[in-house]
Amino acid sequence: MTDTGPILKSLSDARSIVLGDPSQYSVVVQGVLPLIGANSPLELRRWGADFLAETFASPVVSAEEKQKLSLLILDTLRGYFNRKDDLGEEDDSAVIKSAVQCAASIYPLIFRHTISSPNDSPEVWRKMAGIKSAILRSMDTAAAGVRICCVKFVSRVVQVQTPGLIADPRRPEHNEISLALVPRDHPVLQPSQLEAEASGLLDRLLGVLQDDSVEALSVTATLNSLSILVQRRASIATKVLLTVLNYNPLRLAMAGVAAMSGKDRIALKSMTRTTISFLLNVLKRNPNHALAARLQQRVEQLRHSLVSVYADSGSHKRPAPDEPTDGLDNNKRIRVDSETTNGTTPMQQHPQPTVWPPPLPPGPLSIAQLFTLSADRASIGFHVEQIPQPIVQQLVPPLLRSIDQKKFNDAITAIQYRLLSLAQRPPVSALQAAQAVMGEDEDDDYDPEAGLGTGRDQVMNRLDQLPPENQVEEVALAPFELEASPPLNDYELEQYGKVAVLRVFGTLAELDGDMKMGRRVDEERSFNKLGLGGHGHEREGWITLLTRLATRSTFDLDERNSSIKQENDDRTVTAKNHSFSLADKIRASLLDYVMADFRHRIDVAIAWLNEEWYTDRLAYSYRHPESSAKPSMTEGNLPNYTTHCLRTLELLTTYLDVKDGRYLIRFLSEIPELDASVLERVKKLADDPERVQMATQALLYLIMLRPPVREVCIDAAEALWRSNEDAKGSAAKILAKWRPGLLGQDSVGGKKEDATGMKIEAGPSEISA
Amino acid sequence: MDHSGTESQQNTRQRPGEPDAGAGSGGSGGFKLKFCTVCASNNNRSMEAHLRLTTAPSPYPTISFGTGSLVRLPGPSISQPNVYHFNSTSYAAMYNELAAKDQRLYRANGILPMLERNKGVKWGPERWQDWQVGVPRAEYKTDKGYMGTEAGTVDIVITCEERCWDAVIDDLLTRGSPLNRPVHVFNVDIKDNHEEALVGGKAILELADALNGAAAEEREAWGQKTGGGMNGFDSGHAGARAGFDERVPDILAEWQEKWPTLPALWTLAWF
Repeated sequence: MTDTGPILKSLSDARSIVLGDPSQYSVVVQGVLPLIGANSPLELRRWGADFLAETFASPVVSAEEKQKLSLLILDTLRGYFNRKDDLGEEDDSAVIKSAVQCAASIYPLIFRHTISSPNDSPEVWRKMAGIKSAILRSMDTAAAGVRICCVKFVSRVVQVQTPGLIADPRRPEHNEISLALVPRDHPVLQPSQLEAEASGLLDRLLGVLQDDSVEALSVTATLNSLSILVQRRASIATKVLLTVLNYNPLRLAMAGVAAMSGKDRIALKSMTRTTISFLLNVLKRNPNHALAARLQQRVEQLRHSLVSVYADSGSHKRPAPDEPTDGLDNNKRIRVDSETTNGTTPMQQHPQPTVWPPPLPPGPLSIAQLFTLSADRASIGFHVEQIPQPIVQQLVPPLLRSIDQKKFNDAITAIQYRLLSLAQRPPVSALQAAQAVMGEDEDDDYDPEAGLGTGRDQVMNRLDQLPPENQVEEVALAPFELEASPPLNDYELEQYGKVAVLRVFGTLAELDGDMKMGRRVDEERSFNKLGLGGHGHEREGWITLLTRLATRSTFDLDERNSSIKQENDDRTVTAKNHSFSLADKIRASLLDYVMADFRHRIDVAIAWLNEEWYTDRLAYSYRHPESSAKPSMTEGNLPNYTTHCLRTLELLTTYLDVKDGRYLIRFLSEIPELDASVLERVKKLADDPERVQMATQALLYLIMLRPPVREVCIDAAEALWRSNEDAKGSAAKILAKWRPGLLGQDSVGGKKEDATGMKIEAGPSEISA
Repeated sequence: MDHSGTESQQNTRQRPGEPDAGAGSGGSGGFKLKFCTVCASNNNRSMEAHLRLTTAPSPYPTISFGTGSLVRLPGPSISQPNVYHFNSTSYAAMYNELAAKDQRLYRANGILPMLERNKGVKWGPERWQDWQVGVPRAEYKTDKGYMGTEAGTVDIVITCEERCWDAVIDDLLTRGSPLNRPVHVFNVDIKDNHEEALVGGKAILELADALNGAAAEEREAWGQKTGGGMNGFDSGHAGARAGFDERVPDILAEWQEKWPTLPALWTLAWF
């Protein structure tokens, strides 16, 4: 081997020059290249590789200068990587390490050169690609030191080959080097291909984390090289972050801390802390990050796990500082809490008070007081029955076993002593006892009443004492009878009735408010679950209650004061005979309520009318138990239903707007029964030219989907067709389908196409009918 | 090449005192890792370690920094610290100011002796966050341990407190590693007082020796291998075969066993 000493000396002198004067770099780099090539002695190669890495990393050399120089060194770099092919031996890992660093630095420069001068670039880019594939090849097999540099190189390639931000399209030299600079029709660089390669390389990078690797060197090197990608490459930032979030640096601890070697402990702590630093750094740079909450949570989680992993290995914990760090950090001083020591109360530490046994309070005593030896108010106040029985059963045997014999004897002696001293007390008079109880006895855990009645016995006959609860029976109370209030007169009755109705509807209004506010109605508060099985909202329950109050509650109260009131009794007369009837009041209010907002409350009207109909029917069958005929509107057997149905419809029709057809249709289709009188109101609607459409649509709907009333409806349509000029057209359409003979008689069949059109429309109804 | 060679020859003649200290240059036996020590104020712990590393039997290229926002030295009471700016206040200026304020107090609490020591190591405290990695440090020629750090990079960073380690890692992550240069960042938790700083300095020097030993072995092993032909491949012992970077966790674990009261932490970061 040649003596490299003098050459090295002059090389380091050259380095001193460029460090002092960066403008000399181009001269010096070109000068040293022949000396440090792949065929030079090891020492020179090492120096050369280090020097090249240093040069292209140096912040004092401009990017343009570096870009020019980078073209010159490509061959030298390639020589280092291809030494095995060229000379039959791999190069020194120190050389390769520096060469990979250098390659990472020049990769973006070569990339930009290739973009800007595509003509001479194929060759340059091919060389760079050769270096890249050599590095990627050795990534899995090389020595660890080289491997981590490969990780960095790959991260740099990913950064370059992923689109970045274009800060200023007019000045490309100021933009960050990224895939975004490559024109789509570049002869050498194909953006899609490069991006795909970057994506694959990123996966390769993240593989270390996805496998939860325990090799601290690669893990920390990867994490620390990913930061720039999260910072600068929005398109892949989320992927990187999610991978880091899912990475578990604590896998080493799975076997338990005890099983870990010193190296593993340090590796675990280092990997976890690096992960935390990485996540915190992302969070710090962008506190409003979309994943901020998850980042924060993961950091807390890792910190917590780290603490718990090391909790039992005291030797590795940092001892509490015995003086303030920096001489001024107050927070770092130990906080000495005089109140508590290791989390127990003073009472627990000193179970026996200073005076033993604690003196008994003067005056009459309860058994509890007699046997209470503790002075701790909390434990005195605790009622043992609060503990569930199974737990008591578990607790008692070990407790009995663990009783300290000496303490137990002490306790027995103490109670004996108390009993003796009590026996020596002078008998207490009942008056004194009462005074003691009524007076300033603060900790009265017994019933004053009991004391009043039995104070004397308590003292005189202690062992016969009974707990206060059992003595309550002695003071048995006679049943208390409230005086009956004077009967209400009619006026009062009416007023109270009005108030009652007002309040009932007031509650409904509140519930409506709740619904609007979107508040969840507390189901437990709902006491009325009529017909809802307890699943409905309170409002629905309330409406059911209201409708039933209106239809079923008060009928025949006045009529028949019989002891057993039959539901659904004759109720035809209720409303009429009296100046005031609660049911009618509610009905009127219900109607007002519905009309106040009929679009939203049409369901209330329908529910109410259904109730009316049902009750009317029940009443009918009650009155005519022998009759098997069903009551109907036409026969006038449904008095309440008919009245209110027509009334509601009349009111409704006054409010209905042109666009409210569906409310009318809903109403007509859901009320339990309708007849010609109802349809009369519908026909009346058609008097208004604007609402003709609505009326005929409603009729058509009923004809199609409500077969029982089909005939009546067709009659109504026919009546319209005959009498109403405005409605003639649309009524004809209905008739064309449903009563074709009529049109044939009357007109000259000019409606043929209409008739066919109708047919198509009516198709589904035939199926459903 | 000849041209630049003569130029450097001339240059050498102009500065004959400067020894061979190129990046990784010199014989493999003389290989030195470059170190950087970091604490909060770049006064006590990092400076003690700086001194130890640069005055060892085989001194290491060393620079040192603080991660705090300001240099804080204890004052007459806990709420009245003496506060100085980084990078622009020299240890000598601090020394003079405090000596004028209350010589007795600051001598008794060890601040003046500490500043005196620091004056001998370098000009003044430097802030980590203001350090431009890779910019030549020609203006720091008089600092102890300058040789080898002239290019403004190091191989190893050793912080003296976990929050300094956090600050360094956070700063490196934010910088986005433009130099593509790996750096091992260690933390050795040392309490901020003079006694502990002395102990910590000794421990850090031991760690540095162990690390440097491994790095030198790696380089030498390769030399033997190439020197001894293909058979020499097996002659390097197992530890050396593993490579320096790979051995760092082992070295640290070994060191930690010896210094259990100085909890250690480590990561491989990038400049």
